[in-house]
Amino acid sequence: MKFDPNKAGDLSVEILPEKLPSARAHASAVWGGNVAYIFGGGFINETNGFEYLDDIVKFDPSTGEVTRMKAKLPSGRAYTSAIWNGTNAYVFGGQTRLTNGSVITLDEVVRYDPSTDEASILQEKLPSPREGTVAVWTGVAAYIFGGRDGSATDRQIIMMSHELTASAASFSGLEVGILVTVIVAGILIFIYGLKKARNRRRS
Amino acid sequence: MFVILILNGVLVPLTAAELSSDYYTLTLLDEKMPLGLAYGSGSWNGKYAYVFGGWDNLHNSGVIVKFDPNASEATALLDNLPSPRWGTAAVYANGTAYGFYGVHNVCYIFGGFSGVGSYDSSTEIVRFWPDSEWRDLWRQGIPGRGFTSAV
Repeated sequence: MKFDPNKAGDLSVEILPEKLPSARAHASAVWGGNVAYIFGGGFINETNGFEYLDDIVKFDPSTGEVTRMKAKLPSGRAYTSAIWNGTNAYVFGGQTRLTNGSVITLDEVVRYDPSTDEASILQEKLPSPREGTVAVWTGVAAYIFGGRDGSATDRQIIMMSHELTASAASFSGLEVGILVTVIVAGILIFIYGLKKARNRRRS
Repeated sequence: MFVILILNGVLVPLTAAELSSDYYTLTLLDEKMPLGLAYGSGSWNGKYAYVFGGWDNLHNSGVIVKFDPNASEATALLDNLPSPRWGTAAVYANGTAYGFYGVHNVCYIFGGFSGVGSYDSSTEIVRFWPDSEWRDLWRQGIPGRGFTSAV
């Protein structure tokens, strides 16, 4: 569905002819600059109840093309929230069903990199499992609001900052063992300090 | 992208290729929302984040929460959504032309399940004006639906 507030009268809402690969609700989505990415969600299966989807769908409004990406979420999940930081999408928490049939809430943060079409779980976790959160990206950090842990709603606000590190070995004249830490905000980089080098590189 | 690091008075040129994005920090803020909310929607207008309604653990909620990351302050606004609702989708439209009003900043909140304890899907498009913290209804609705997403 397309909403264009610049169009007059009853023309502002348009049902597009393109369809998602399958019907779904409870998905999250981000605008990736030129295309939209839709993460997971689920649908009611009359036999098995609620089915959780693990697919990542790209929608290009300029062409109308809907593509199911090769990358998949680590497991089917719904009730996630997601943000786009200018490079990657991040999918927070959600609800999934284990192979034993039990439904659980997730504390995972999944990063999706469209440039490589790879989805991976960050080592860093949400403070506790939660679903139904609201997430926004401010240009500097992501904020994740509220959500539900399966039994109660939450008032908490979580901030996720994305830090870039550079190896001291790449700088001439610097003492080995010093790590320079910067925060990227779009194309602007703010340098906020120095840290002792630690091996925090992710595989 | 090109960055100059200033270290001990020495300028060190650094290109984006020399940076590696490899870790993240998740921090639980001391500040909390005025009430617990789940399954709502939200948007960022360049200055504040807004959370629109959701489920408060007992009922649908029509509360609009404003969060100022600079002050780390979350407040419930006086103006609520037209009715309590969860499962909405929201976007922020910057610079949308609107008749003779010209450029403006507006959040649009789509559908959801409205009413207290109701699962009726809403056909409404709610327009929220961050500058005045006022909201009204868009003149046209959508086919009723909840728990969609929007970009």
